[in-house]
Amino acid sequence: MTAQADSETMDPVRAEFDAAFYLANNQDVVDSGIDPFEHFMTWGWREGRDPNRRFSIASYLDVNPDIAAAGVNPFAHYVVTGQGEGRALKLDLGFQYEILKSANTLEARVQALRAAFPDGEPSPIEGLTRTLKRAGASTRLHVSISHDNFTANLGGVQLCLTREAKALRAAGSAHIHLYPAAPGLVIDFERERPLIGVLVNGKSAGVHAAETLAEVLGPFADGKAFTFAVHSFIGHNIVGVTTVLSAMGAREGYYWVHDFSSVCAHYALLRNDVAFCGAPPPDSPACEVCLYARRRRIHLAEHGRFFQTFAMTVLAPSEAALELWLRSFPVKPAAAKVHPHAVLRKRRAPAVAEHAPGPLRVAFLGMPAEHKGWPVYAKLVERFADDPRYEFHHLGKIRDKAVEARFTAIEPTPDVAEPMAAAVEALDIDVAIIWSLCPETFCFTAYEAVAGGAAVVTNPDAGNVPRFTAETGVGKVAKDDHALGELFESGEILTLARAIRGERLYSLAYSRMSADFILEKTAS
Amino acid sequence: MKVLCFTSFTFSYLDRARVLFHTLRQHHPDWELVALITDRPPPGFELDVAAEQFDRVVWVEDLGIEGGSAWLFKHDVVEACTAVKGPFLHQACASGADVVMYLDPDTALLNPLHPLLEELQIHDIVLTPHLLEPEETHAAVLDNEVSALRTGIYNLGFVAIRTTGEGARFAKWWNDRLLAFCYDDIPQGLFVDQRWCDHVPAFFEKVKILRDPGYNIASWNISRRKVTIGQDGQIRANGSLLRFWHFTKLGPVGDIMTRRYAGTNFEVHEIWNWYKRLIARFTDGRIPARYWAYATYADGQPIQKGHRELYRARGDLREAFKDPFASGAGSYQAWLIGEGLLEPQNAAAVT
Repeated sequence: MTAQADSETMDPVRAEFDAAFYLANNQDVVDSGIDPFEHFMTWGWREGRDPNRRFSIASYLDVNPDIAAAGVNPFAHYVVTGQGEGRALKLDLGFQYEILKSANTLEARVQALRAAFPDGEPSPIEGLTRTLKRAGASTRLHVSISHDNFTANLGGVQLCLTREAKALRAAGSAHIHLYPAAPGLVIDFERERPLIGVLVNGKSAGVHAAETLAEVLGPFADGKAFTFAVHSFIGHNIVGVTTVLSAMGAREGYYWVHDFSSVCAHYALLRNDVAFCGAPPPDSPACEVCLYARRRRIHLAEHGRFFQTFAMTVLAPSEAALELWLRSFPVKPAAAKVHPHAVLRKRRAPAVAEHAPGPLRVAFLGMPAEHKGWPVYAKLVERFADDPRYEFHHLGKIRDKAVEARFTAIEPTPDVAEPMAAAVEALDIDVAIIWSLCPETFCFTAYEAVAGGAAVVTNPDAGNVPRFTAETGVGKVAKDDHALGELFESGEILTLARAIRGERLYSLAYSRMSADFILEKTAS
Repeated sequence: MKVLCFTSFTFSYLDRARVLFHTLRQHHPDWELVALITDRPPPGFELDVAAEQFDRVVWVEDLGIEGGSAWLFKHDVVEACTAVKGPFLHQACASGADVVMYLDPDTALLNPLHPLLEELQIHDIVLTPHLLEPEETHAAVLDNEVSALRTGIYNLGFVAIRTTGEGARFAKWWNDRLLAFCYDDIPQGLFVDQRWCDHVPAFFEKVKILRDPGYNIASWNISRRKVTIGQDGQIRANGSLLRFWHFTKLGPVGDIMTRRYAGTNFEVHEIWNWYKRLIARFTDGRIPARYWAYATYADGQPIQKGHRELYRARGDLREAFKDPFASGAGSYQAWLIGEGLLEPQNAAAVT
């Protein structure tokens, strides 16, 4: 090794520089053939090109204005002196600040969605009457109401509706599903011509005005044992749905607490999109400063009127959801019950610990969304990525390349009942971080994590998740993200390794949703 | 207890004043709310008091200040809007109100101010200091502690008095000082209406220095106040109910200070976002930005700060030009041009 090469190797700035990262982000440097480090030291830093994944030139200058004023190479400054002086790499204001800074108001989003989906034309009435005729002469009829066409989209509520519809149709009931023809973020009361999409036994019967549906479905329900279940009013005009149900002779029904859209225009009770609010009184200062305040009053009033019109039995998939709903909804329902979407069934006897020693495998499951706590996980990964005690994973459909976690794509498929559980098991994930910022009413993800043998680590605001974690005894509830970091720092989290706690595997036994009550009532 | 609450502003601050009055009306529907305006409506805009949330307007002319427009000319917009607080407060002592309270137009309430009225059962004057505890970093000492040494210990974005006793005596004294010395002249120890009040605890009895962190939160004290929004629906600062916030420097400058001192206390940004939404709701597009009727001579030429200072320094000029806002022959403006101190407006436009 020459003396020059030796000094270059010893150059601490060069040592911290990530040539592969630099080339991956600067195609022009690749094309020029210039040594990436030379390029960075000569031009790159002046052009704001970052030298490695963790150092942002813009952020360093933002938090250190004196360095910006001095006009020196910020990366070289940090490596040589800044680090020793304890200078911050960035002004860390938290992910909540980033959300608040870019606050695209609810009103703006509602208007944008409305513009994207203007009022359409209703379908010809004949199509509806024809489809109803083909539905046969069942003596029983069930109507479900939700925010979308559950046969066209995939998600927790859609799976629930699929099971409900399947069970009722198997029992000989006709099934009609009503969904808003145009998607919404909140309940609708502003559209001039709101239309309702109709599925009859899973087949589309067009989109129609509430008055048309009242006219046609009223006589159709005549003489039939008629039930209905509301899964969500988001996107719906509740007055319109009330008209239809009244015409069908409805007097009582089921209301599912899949979320808290009956309590607020933010269905997950995230004040200003950043923090669980706890559904305080609508005239409280907390509500006053929340951008959902105005529409919250409308949501409460419209849902309240619906509950006063029909004798509703409220069904919640967890105790946590029901308790929160009962204390935050202003109208007392006719009845309220907890009915979990699924329960865990032991799949096989606890295996003898046969896991190779290695780092604790920690995973985030699902969508890397803020309200699911992705920024908290990202920060955890950033802090402990180099810690040999841990290996970080992300299992989901969409990858966030900015986070150094091993990504495994999970695609829901009809062939695998619980694809997430299967992946958790296959990857030997020890701990699933389920850090929802707002209350989960059920959380299939948590159930799948445990079914696949992982422990769940969560926070107290995550609704059913901390309750579920306490019930299963597999996992921990950390007070806040600081406490979460402490679990990793101290190594206390290592006690959740499969090898230490022993592995238990489960499958999920699903409920039939409202059908369980309807069919039980019929049978009795 | 009959309460009169007022704020002082020009039309370019009407949006902020409307937000304040909106929140005052929400929490204190029974208070008399007064808009003290040192301005004239901009062309094409008419103030419809019946549609506003305040009860009445008091124009600067209504105060009967000796010297009228000549007195006003000596002040820039900030000096003028703060100077008029003294005469109004003094005159309001005879209005029949038991308590008179001033709030800056860029403040807003998030909880009622009832505890203040309780304080005013015992005390005659209530002031809120800029800072309630020492800063901890060098930068914050410079930004906040040193700044308060220059501009005054108490923030005069808020003051409340009983209209009798020491309250009335304070109002008279403040009236006198502000009529004569309400200038932004820090080298001379003056900072508009505010620095004067450093004397208050020494000059007056029954003064309450309110050390409750729930009052008058602003960028200059946010570094030492942790704001929380609880699941009970309450907003607190260091555990005390948040009563009113002082939204100083709405815009990029305020944002920088808030970012610097709020840190990860994201609730502060939630409150700012709320305020910005309200401002957007109450803004009237017909009012030009930075509009002030008294910013120009009669012909529209802007008045320079130095020429206001010259006018207030020289009695001979004040004697010679009784209406310094006038344009044309024999005016102060013409004199300035003649002396080579001011370029004629048309020439300025050509160059």
